[in-house]
Amino acid sequence: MINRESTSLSAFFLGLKRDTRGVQQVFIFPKSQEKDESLFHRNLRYLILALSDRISLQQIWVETTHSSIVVRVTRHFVLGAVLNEKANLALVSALTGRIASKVDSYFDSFRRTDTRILENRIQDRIDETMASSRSTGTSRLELQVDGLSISGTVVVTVPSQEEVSTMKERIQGIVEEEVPFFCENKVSVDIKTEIALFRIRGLTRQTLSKVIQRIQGM
Amino acid sequence: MQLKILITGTYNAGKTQFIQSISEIEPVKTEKRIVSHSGNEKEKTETTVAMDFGRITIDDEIALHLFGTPGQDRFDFMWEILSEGILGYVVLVDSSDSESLEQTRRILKFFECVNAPFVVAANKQDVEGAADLDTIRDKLSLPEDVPLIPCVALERESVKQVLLSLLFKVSDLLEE
Ligand SMILES: Nc1nc2c(ncn2[C@@H]2O[C@H](COP(=O)(O)OP(=O)(O)O)[C@@H](O)[C@H]2O)c(=O)[nH]1
Ligand SMILES: [Mg+2]
Repeated sequence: MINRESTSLSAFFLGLKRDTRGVQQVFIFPKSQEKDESLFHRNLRYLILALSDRISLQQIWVETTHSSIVVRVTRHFVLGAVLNEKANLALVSALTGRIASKVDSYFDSFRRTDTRILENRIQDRIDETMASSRSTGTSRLELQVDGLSISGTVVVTVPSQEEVSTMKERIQGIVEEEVPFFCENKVSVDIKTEIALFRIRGLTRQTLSKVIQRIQGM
Repeated sequence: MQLKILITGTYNAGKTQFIQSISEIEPVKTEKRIVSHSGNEKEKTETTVAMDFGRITIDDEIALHLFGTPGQDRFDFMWEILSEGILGYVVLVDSSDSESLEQTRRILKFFECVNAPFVVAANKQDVEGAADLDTIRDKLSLPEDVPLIPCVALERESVKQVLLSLLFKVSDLLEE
């Protein structure tokens, strides 16, 4: 099941990227070969392939003068972080270890889950967000899963132009947390403003029919 | 309560005429003075920005205002200000001028983000050789649900029909 726990694992991974001191970059990619993998991914994969012939490999730690790379190897993934000298190695090692220990079961359940469930979860959270910001907007979303890439659009309508940028940030945050962190997130978030009409205060059907009658009588 | 409708379209499409045909007052011409950079009085250049404005009194409390957009690209920012709080807008097309059609596409695009109800009026239908509705719809790639109304801005009755079709569209939206 894609549940709260998996969301928190995603949040954990995002936290590793954003909030951990000395972490310059985080990465996760499938252990099997990808179509357009980067040079970095390919070389790491080769290294792991070469080494795992001899030893059972769970963690690699590459150290240079001013930086280091922590690499975790799981059944399906290679993940880790590039660190500078400010990083606390023991901490990063523990964090990546925790993610590594859970990512495979998350992945297995993800593969068994219908995209609908993911859509519904994102929808629920968007609704919650809109309710809490007392926004009267509407939203619509549609996702497609293609292997380890999720694409699609989330369209949210807000009442005023002023709300566009904050709402966009919030929705992107939700999507980022809900799209499994091992997937490539190609979901675009589109925030529209509500039809200008509904921003005209005091506009009623009665007012409008008066206008129509007047013009008809001209 | 003042309700606002914007009348837009390319230069010469008939915006001034459209507003004049239905307004209770003569369209107002607003003038803007531009002082040259040197600030020298004698070098003062003057430019005229014609802004069409019309009014229809509905009752003691309600008035309908019609604003025309100035027809040059450099006034795009004005369009944005003018679109604030509008009930909807009319896009006037000069059916007798094929170049106008091309420019109208840009106007339609510009107003997309205003996200207000609109109708397109194929103006100057009385002119010989004017493009017919099908041709115009096709050239503008107008979706079927956008009303396209034949129009002769010189005639009040025709202008009425255009405004009414916009108002009915607004009314439908309010009902939803
Ligand atoms: N024959 C004909 N001429 C029109 C019509 N509407 C406007 N015109 C003329 O087209 C010219 C441009 O109209 P105007 O309202 O000034 O266009 P604007 O630049 O959009 O304000 C004027 O000479 C009008 O009299 C119409 O429906 N039929
Ligand atoms: Mg004019």
